[in-house]
Amino acid sequence: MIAKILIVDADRQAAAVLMNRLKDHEIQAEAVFSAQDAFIKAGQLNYDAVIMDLMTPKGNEVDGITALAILKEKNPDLQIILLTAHANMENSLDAFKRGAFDLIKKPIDIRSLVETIFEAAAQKKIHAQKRIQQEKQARLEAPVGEAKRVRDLMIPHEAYAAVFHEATIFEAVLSLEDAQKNVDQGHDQHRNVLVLNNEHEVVGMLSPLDILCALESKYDNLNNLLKNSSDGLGPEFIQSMMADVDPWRKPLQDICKKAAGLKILDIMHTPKESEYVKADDSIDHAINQLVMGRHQSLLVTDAQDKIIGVLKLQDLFESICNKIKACGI
Amino acid sequence: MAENHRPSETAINLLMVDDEEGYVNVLSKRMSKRGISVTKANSGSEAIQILRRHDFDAALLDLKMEDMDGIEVLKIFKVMAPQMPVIMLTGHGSETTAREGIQYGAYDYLIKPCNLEELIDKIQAACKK
Repeated sequence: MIAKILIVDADRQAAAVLMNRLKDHEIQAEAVFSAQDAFIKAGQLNYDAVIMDLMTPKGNEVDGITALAILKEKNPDLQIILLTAHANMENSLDAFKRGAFDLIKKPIDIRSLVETIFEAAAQKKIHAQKRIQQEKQARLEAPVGEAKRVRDLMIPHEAYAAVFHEATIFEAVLSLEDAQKNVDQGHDQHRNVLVLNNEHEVVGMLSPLDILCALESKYDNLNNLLKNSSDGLGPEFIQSMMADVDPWRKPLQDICKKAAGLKILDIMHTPKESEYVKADDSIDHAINQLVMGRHQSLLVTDAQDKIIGVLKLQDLFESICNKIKACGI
Repeated sequence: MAENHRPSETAINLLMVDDEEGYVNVLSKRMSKRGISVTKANSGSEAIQILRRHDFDAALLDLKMEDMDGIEVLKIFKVMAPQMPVIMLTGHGSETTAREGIQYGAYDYLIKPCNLEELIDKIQAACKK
């Protein structure tokens, strides 16, 4: 898994060196050189962690510990790793009280930092999932009629497992496996994963079905045939077609070799227009879209058409069930 | 008489009982930086051996371990160290077992994977009582 982090360090050279070293460990890093820029950047993009040198900010800016507290307040799920030349128990405890994930003494041991970054990324996901679950619980327990807009019921995209569009099928499979584990653990999570571009924007979705279809190209031919047929096809006809085409005939070995050449961008599901809904649209509108399109979920966009969440049929149905139960009929 | 194992005035002395070594290592590393000194036990029986020789401010007990049933370990803890608060860690499907643990005297429970901050808050709250 690639982790995406933000480095905050007034020392530009130190930041550049760290960025390069982290690249070797599949950690994608960007750098800013002031606390103010960090506040802006952290709010724009969904970083897995922030690494901040405690000596930044300098001059008239807020001190490092205050910057930490501000960052945490703006982004409660964000995990912040502080770098310092002088770590003692007192300032450590203060940093942790303000929300630091870890405090690392310089000079940095890169392997230890990499480990910490991946732990921070995992912790961020847990934190986001818990927060979303609590918010969902609050919404479901809210008096009937309060959830009127799509944004009241959607799941923010940070709560979804995600994979970058340049990732390999191997990484996609691991991500889907993680997503399934959450379902198995009853966390009420999602079997699908979101596909992100380098700017962490959602560009598509990937499901177990997408992977299976991609591994057997004969499905493409079948899909085209089914799409181009003007009348409905009876089950016997479809069965006979399947017998002729005989998908999955080759041993799995061949198919896995093929998987090595597949790119996520080519196999992901790119949502159709009908699969998008605005965050401020009414629940009624969303129900209509789900029903008419026979969708299991809709991608939720903000006013700038940026994807900010997913509205699941299941969650919407749960909300309706609560309303019906409240009627007492 | 069990030895008092207290490395510093303010540190919380925690006994962590969990057979998932990777998980324990990550947690104890995080906790030690936050003033919680962690003694690790890989199994219920190892934890009992350790508790014979040392006192702890609190214990963190995973309910699903290979060698002994978590509730049995809890019951033994409650006999050996009745004042030591025990926080249980359980998987999402095992909340009933965790609630049973409360009846046997556990302080509270958390569902894995748990939020580190929440876990630390709970340990600190348990030690204040």
